[in-house]
Amino acid sequence: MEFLHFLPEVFTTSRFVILVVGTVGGLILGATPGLSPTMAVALLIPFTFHMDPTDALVLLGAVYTSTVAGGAVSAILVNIPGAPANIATVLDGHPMARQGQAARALHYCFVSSFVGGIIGVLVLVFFTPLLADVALNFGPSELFWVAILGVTVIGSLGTGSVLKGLFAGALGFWLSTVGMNPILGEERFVFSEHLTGGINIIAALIGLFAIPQVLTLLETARSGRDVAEVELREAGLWQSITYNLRQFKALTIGTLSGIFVGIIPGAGGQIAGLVAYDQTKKFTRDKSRFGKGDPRGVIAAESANNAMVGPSLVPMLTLGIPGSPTAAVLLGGLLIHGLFPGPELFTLHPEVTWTFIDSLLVGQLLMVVFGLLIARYSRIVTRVPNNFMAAAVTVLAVFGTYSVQNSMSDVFVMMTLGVGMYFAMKVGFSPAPVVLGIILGPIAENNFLQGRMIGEATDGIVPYFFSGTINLVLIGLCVLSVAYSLVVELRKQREALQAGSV
Amino acid sequence: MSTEKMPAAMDREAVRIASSTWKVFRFNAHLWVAIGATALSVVLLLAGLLPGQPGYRFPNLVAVILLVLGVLMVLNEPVAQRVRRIAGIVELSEIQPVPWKELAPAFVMLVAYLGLAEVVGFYVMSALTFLVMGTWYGASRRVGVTARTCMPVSMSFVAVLYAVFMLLLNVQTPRGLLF
Repeated sequence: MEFLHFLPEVFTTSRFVILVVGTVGGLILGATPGLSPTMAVALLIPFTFHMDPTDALVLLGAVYTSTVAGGAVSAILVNIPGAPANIATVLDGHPMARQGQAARALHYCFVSSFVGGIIGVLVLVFFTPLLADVALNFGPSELFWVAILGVTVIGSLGTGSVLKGLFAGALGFWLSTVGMNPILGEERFVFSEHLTGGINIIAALIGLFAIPQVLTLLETARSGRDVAEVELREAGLWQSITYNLRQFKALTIGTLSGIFVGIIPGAGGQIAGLVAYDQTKKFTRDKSRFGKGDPRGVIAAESANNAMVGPSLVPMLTLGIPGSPTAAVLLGGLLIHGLFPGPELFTLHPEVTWTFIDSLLVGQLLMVVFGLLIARYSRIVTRVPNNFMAAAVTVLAVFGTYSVQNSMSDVFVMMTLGVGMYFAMKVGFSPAPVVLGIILGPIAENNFLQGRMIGEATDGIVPYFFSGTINLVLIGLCVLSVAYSLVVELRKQREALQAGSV
Repeated sequence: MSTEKMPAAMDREAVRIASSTWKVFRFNAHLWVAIGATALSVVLLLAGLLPGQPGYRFPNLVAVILLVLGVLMVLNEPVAQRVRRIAGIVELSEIQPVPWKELAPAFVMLVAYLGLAEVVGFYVMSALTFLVMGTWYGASRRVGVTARTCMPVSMSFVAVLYAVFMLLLNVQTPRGLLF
């Protein structure tokens, strides 16, 4: 029970203050329309650069957890999901608010997030060591395939088009090779002086997630945000809590959907919320209230998107494959502090890893307490205009990137990647596979080159990479994720054809 | 509209729809995206092949995979196009237009910000960019009013950044001519 052993570490004064600040800040950032959890965590990483690795991870984890929950505030009050994870919350949350039950909907949101979040973190506590034990048997070939699997899964499952997702992931791999060769030490693809040091992970994370968001905000900033004001009447908290806990079916379906989707690499909270909403609707006799302000819709969606957070870190901490785009950014945060995912994280740095996991557990409690406390004031945040938001994120992105290495080159790289990603997003590409490619690229290349040398010295390169149970399982999973996504895409095409020919 | 005139009007409507559909397919944006991706992968492959060094092995392998995926996108396009046509999807669902008119000032602001930050000073340019972006993209048509609201916000925001980055994190930013 190592997680109990390191639990007191969360309650040291400075760390607890960091946890509270991260939770409250995350709730506010989450409630702000246009600031997604992924972007918030990416923008925050430079601030953690000078911090102790444990404190840095505690802060990033707290922000990850609470931005997902906070995103429900704008979903309920102004019909704009604060994060993609809160899309399903809009369906019944906003109709509830329009019926004068905004406060009640916010209570349900935070209580359900707490229930789902706690169970999700417990899954992380008990499953991570098991998977870490399996990862102990991994050599260069297995680690190479793990990196390929990460990009394959997020590229095929996490995007609209399989080919575009895989292309984006492979492009990320290629971008990671710019700069110095890790083994031979020669410079590659240094077309400009700004690329001498390669592409910094933090610059790439900020550019790819923040700049497209800035430009998207500016597209509609001048027309103003069409916000439908809702009244925030007081509602009995205990009454809400007891009603919420009595909705056992919605809570269970939501939590289980979140856990299942979270463990699948690349899927993310958006899918978790929508799957939970859909399943709860299917298992409910009276479906007529769904979409018109049924509390069960809010409960299912919110318990799911927070239950997803813990499990999404299981493959990230043990194998280096993030379960969601925000977990991918968190992986970047882990790497810049010199911590590499895998079993060594638990053997060499148990105090960092377990304190981080424990902080997620305590963070859930803080999230529900502060969420319920600040819910009534949250309407102020939802009124922040897009022009201020875009200007603030731009300046923050530039400062954050510059502070990593005191380098203007990083800022130029960040802006170039960000603007390029904006155009790529317009033609159907996603930033998550590119980011993961940049993060996992060095892991893939190092292990590929090491494996190649081992293969040449033993039975040959092909047998080394394509034999052994773990290698074959990992290759099988790569093929399976691509095949599954292709089947889904083909099925969609067939349905479109049938609908068109009728 | 009388009943005799209806077929002629319907014909004109059919011709209009057919012609607009043809325009969309003549400039098939999906196909151009696939061709662009393939061209990019060829460039990346050539960039890795030309030096002929062993250190380029992994990026070249990745570039070959990119090329295969690009070619697959091009080959897949006729099938996808047929599906879109039969399903009656005329609009290019995945491809959204870039609102150039709306964003052109933003690109100018970003270029000016990065280009002048080292010359003028990081903090001054940050405050200026915040002010100009916030004012230009304000929902209100009254620029003076928006600028007056934006001024204290931009100054306070940059002051907070100064406190965090300069005083707390000790990050030295380029001072330039001003600050």
